[in-house]
Parts: sequence; C-alpha cells; structure tokens
Amino acid sequence: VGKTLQQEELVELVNKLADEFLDLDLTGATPQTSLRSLGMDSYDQLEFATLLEEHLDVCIPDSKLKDLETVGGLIALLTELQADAG
Amino acid sequence: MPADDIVITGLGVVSPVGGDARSTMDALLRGESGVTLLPEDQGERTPVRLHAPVDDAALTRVSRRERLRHDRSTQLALQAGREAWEDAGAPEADPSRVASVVATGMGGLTILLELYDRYLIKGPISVPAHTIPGIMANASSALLATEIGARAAAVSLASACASGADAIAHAIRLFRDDEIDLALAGGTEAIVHPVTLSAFGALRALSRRHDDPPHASRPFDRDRDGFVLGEGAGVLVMERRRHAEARGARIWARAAGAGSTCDGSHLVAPDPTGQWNAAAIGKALRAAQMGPSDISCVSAHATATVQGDLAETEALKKAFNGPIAVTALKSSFGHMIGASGAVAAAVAALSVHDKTVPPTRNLDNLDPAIDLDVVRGTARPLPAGAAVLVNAAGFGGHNTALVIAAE
Repeated sequence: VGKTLQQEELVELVNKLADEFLDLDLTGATPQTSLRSLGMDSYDQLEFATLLEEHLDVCIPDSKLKDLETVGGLIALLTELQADAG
Repeated sequence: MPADDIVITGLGVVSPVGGDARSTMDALLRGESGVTLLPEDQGERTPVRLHAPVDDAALTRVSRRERLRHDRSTQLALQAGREAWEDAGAPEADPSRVASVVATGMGGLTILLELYDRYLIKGPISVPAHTIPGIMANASSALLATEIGARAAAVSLASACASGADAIAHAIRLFRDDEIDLALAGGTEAIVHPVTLSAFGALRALSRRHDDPPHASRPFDRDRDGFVLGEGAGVLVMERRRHAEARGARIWARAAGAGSTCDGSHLVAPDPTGQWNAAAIGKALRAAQMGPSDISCVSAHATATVQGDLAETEALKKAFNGPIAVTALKSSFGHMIGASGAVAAAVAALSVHDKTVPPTRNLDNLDPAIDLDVVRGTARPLPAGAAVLVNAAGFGGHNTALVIAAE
C-alpha cells in the first residue's frame, strides 16, 4: 500500500486479487481481453475496484469505472491513478 | 389422492450431523451429537463456548467464488437448496408458477460482524461491494429464485426460530391460493460468532455444560440448562401432486397442512400456558383435515431451555388431550434458529417415508413436570400412513405447526 508499482507488479497484483477474491483466472488474458468475457459483470467490477483501491491506496472515480472495458484499460487506469497519487 | 395435494419431491439438508438430508437422518437415528467446543481463539472471546457447526467440507455444491462473496447462511442455503433441487430431478415448470421461499432468523449477521473487524482496522476502503448483498436477509431466497427460475415469488420471512417452518407454511398458502405449482421452501442460519454467543448468553438462553459438549443439549431433561447454538439449512421441493405425478416424480411425503399463531405476550418469553401454540397445532390439523389421533409423533421445538420446554409441554397436552409421542432433534444438532423448522420438516418427511422416527439424545431423567411420551434410546417405528407434526416457536411469540404425512 502506498508504493507505486511497476507495470509487471501491477499485472501480478491484479491477477492475484482476481484469483484470491473473485475466483477469476486472468493469467491468460491479453490487454485487449474484455473484462466481461472473463466473467466479470458490473457487480464484480465494483467488488474488484474496492479491492484495488484498498491494495493500491488509490481512489477510482465512478466515471472511470463506468468506462472500463478491457484488462489493458484497467492496468492503464491503475497506472494513471498511481502516478496522480504519487 | 387429490390432485391438488401438496407433495414433497425433493429434500436438502446441511446440518451439524450431516452434509445432506440422508446422512443427517442416519446420524439422528444413530443418536449422534454435533455439539462441540469453539476453537480456542474464538472461545476466549465469549462466556459460552459450545456450538454445533457444519463441517466446511459439507459445502460441496458451493463454489469458491460463492464462498468469497456470500454470507455463510446463504452458502448453507445454496448447498441445501441445490441438493433438494437435484433430489427432485431438477423439475421443469412454468416459471410464473414457481416460488422460492427461504427464511432466516437473522440474515447475514456474520458477514457484517467479520467486515466490521476489518473496517475498524483498515477503514472504509476495506468495505467490499458484496457487503450489502451479503447482509440482506433475502439473499438466499433471491439467489435460489434466480437459479431455478422462480418468477411467481421470492419471499424471505423472518420469525426468529419459527422462520424455517413459517417458510414452508407460507409456501403451502401460495399453493392454496393457486399462485404456484412448485416451490423451493425452507430456512437457513449461520450466526455462530463470539458476539452472538455472548448475546444469547446474556439472555441466559444457552447451555454452559462446557465440560461435556455431546451431552449439553438436553431437551426435556431435568438437568437441561439452555440450548446449543447450531447452524444449518433445510430446503424442500414442494409440488402440486398433479404436477409431480405428470413428470413421474418420486414423492417423499405430503405437506398436509400448516397453522400459525402469535402468543402476543412477550418479545422473548414463551406464553407459559402454551395456549396459542396449541391453537397453531389445531389450525394445522384442521388444514390437514386430521384430528389429534391422526398424529403418530411430534417433532418438538424443544430447544432445552427450562421455560421453553415447559411451555411447549403445556401446548402439546392441550392440543393432543393425552400423552403424545414426541422427539427432540435439537438434542443431536443443537438449535439452528431459522433453519430448525425446515430441517425438522425434511427429517419428518424421511420419517414418515421410512416409517421410523429418530430418538431424543441426552434424556437421562425426564423433567417430572414434563409428562410426555418422549422417544428416547432408540428410533421408534411409525405405522404405514403416519403423520408427524413439526412444532416450531420463535422469539416474538411466533408459533407454527406443520403436518407432514405419509403418501
């Protein structure tokens, strides 16, 4: 928490949290993979957002959450929020 | 048999003595106990350390994802509901004629207590999105409705320890009102936690026989000192006879009638005269078009509190005009609160089907004030065509009786 993660670490954390708390396997996903195709509906996205906020100490604005569609988009957003926070 | 009869075609139970309906029945017939001491780290946070837990390994029909998200009461309801549905052969029915009625006494209390611990340490950022859906008392009923495609109704009743029996009674009314042809109905509860044990302890409602857990739950015994908090779920598939017969379903028993009343006297103490409990039994018998002599055995509420067992004795004497055979399942698996009436109904269905009723454990010295014919020692045979009356009562003065009859 509080530490800015590099891209690879971020992907690793996203995969770990998805597995641990949502029982979703993101390891085979590419940046283009849609969150929905991974079985993540809007409720799961809320759940996931709270987890990421807690673990990265960032705040994901509702407007950004609404527009999230792909794994790549999520990583980019988290990178951006970390940079803002840092 | 009338085509409008309500029959039970599926049974699902997860209890402290068994992971499914049949293994629970077998354990009861053997007189086993599911009562044990809390793990030490929890036990040191409550003055009452006895409980009757469900083995986590029993949750075979609940995914890891569901365990991460739902309150334990909902996990138990999913386990029992799915077992009942599979047992009934996953029936196809017009969704607009199917209901899900799953009750709970206290809903998602445990998930809230656990999340509060996190909240205190980590603050609001640690409160996950599943918190509210997890606490909702209607989560089990709604999830099972979604799963089986029930569109006529998804109902969640709360009448404390009568909740599970009330769910079945409510389903019977939906059949009688011609709203449905099929229902998944039952109850669930999972509130074992140091806070709830302390709270029931403050009411002086729980046994403190810590030195001898298997013998702590002692309904009707002279030396009883309160109930043991259990957890579990019981769900029935109930079906209109013509619907069940048209698809060639196996029928366990008939849900012949239900009756409910309220003591209207106190929030936690039962009416010592038992008059309104007796009235609920009378209503259930009339609904079943039966008289007191048609009942072979009562599956009593019998939690093993001093006052509760005495009040129920008065009720049974008034309702049956003489000594009636009675068994007390909570002697084996403790008190599953909102699940207990539904689990008792599932056991009653197996009892009339198998023509045998499980015995009451731990009855060494019958309380001299309790002049009932308590089934003890070994299982007692039931005649062909028998009916068992399930009696349930809850904090608030709720009384509900169900008549479960053989085919």
